[in-house]
Amino acid sequence: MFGYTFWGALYVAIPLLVLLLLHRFDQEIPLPDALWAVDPEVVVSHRERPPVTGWSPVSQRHAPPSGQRPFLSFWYRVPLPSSREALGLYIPYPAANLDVWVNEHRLALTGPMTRPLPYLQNPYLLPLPPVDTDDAYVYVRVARYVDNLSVPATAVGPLQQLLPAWERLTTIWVRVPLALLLVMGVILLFVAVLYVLNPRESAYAWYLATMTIWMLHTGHAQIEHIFLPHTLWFSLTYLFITWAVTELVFINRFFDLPMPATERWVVAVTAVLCLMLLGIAATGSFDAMSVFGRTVFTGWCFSVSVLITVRYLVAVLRRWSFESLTLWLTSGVVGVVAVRDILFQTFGAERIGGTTYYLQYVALLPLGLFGIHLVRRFSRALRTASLRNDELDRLVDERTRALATSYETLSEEVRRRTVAEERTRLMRDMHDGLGGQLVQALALSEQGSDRELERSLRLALDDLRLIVDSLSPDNAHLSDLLASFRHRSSKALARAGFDVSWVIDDSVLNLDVSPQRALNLLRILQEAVTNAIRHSHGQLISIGFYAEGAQLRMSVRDNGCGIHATSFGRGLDNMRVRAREIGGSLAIVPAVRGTHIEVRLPG
Amino acid sequence: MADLSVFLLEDDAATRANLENKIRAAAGLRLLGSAGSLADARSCLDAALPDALLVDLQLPDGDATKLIADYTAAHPALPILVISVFGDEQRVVRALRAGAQGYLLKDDSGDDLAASIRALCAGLSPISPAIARHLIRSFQTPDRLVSDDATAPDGAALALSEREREVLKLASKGLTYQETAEVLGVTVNTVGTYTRRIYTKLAVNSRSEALFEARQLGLMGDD
Repeated sequence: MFGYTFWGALYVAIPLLVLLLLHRFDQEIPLPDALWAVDPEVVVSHRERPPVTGWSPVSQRHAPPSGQRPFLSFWYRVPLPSSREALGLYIPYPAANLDVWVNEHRLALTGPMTRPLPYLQNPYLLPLPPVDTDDAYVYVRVARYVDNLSVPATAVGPLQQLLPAWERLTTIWVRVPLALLLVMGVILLFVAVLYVLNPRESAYAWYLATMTIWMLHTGHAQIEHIFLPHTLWFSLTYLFITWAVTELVFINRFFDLPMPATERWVVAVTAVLCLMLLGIAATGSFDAMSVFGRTVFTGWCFSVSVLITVRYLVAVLRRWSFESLTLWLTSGVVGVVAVRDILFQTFGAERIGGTTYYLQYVALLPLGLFGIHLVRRFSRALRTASLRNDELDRLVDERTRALATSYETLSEEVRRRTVAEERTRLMRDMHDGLGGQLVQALALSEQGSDRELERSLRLALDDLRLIVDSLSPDNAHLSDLLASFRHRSSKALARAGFDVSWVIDDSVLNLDVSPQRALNLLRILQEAVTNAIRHSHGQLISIGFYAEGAQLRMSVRDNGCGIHATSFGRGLDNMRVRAREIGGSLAIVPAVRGTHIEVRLPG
Repeated sequence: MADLSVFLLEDDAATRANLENKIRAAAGLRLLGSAGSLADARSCLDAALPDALLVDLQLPDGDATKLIADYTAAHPALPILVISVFGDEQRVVRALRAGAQGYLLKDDSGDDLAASIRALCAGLSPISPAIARHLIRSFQTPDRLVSDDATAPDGAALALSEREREVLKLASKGLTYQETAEVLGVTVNTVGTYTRRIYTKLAVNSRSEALFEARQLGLMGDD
């Protein structure tokens, strides 16, 4: 694409352009100075009708301190010129509830006087009736929470001159925010639907929370009656903005740049700051709350914004995409506008220009883009999923056909190999066990040792039994082999005076043990049982088979004289070798009495 | 009580001599006679019937299954034991179908041999896990089953009772009679009798099957 210089220039140019446009639009239409009421007469009073006496001029730029009142209420009056034209009363920033009279007649009441507006009210324009007397006054009662006696800027004059100024300000303050609220509401609904469809993606939830906070913040200017202490109410403005900025951190997830630790820290710090702010607000000290909000919260929001911007930039550099690029560019706009707003707050409207803060409008850019990207992502995922499904169906069909043909050729090969493997196994089994025992028997018969001969032949017979058992197609499973062994050994054990306890886990039946492994396991078991009968002098033998996951554990334990007191040595080596041959391990478990052998066979 | 007379049919001279010695040595047993071929055995048995008949299955002049079937048909009360080697359960089951009521292993000790014969004459039959599995399979054939214990009508098979099925199941797991008896809460002797009844049903069913098949093939007229 284009070079970094191009994007860098765009990153600076777009915010400046946006700022310029906002500034051009956010200008009051100037009224002639003559229309403005300078130094109106003021009387502090809670009376419902304009007071008769006590009027004195109070500078509107100078506010004397007032007592601790729940809210402030005062009257002021402006002389009404006699005119043939239709006249009007224009108060651009009332920030209060108003009660307007002309002489003895009430013209308008914008809200209850005992529960005034906390802060904002829309630009106020009231057409005045024609009067014939020269001595006419417009009386205005102001009821507001701010302890400030300053009279709101008031203009009285021909309606035709006041109307354009009022229109412009109403557009900036009321119409644009309402239109934005509407747009955001639609996006919010979309994302809410997405969240319902895909509740595991928490980014949707975070976005919903952010949007809701923003809508509350923007919408609260339009709400007439708030039942909160005004300090608390003002603190909410900070909370709203801070959370909106904080939760933009979660956009990172959409660029495959997870930063869970940062997310946690940012959210945690914001939460702590909010609690501190609420704590200060709860003390009722408006000034302390205001200072804390302005300094700490503004600084924090600025830091988080910088962090987010940097992350966007990393996302853009890593993988260029329409989403990351647009978000990055908007973050630049937000940053520049935030700086302007801070300057606006610090130096005032006179030196910076404009009538209001811009961040409330501009923050919509990343939020709106984010919402649009979310919806785009979702629809793309849906499309991809349906394409994938088709592809998968096709692949499955293809594989099924291929498998069917390869199965034919393979099964013949497998059969041949299985037969060969079985032959090898049989040969080794015969050679290793039976062969050796028969050779030994032959030697014994040549020496004429009948008892030893019989014993050796019985051992050979036992081994042959196991081999035959393991070869029999009837003994498809280890449990069948165990049953045969259990049946066969019970007589010999009973004769030797043993009580036998068998435990075979039900889940052993689910293990798939090859004939070779089953045979070796049974050989170890047979050797252990034979040794117990011959050497242990015990009365109790426990044989257990347990399934531990895919692993098989065999445990043989007697209460005899123990392994070290017997001539077990060679038998033990034998068992170890057999266990190793089938990939298992044999262990002597320490026991107070008798011998305890365990064989473990991994799955 | 008089000694039980035993007749032995075994072709291998050494094994026959060994078994003869064991029978003679056992208290309560008496060797009535022995033979090495089917023909010899038939002539001896026609002269005098023993209390128990011990039969090897493979003989020079043929398979002993036919002999077992014939003598079971002629003398239903005659206990017949098959002399077997381990691993030939299929042959043993064939003999059981023909009417044998027990089996013993050639390498059994003298004591085991005597005990088996005495138990058989008392109406108790032994069973091994492999045989039990065979039997479970043969009784699983679902068609032509009647659960009635009485003589089955021709062509219909007898089904096992719940208890008999349990005995087979435990035997197939390698439990001894003692253990089976404990599980079922009966005496050891009862388990032996159950086994005997299972064998009898098996033999009856086998005969019915033969009849049924013969009728299907049109070898016998309908009666």
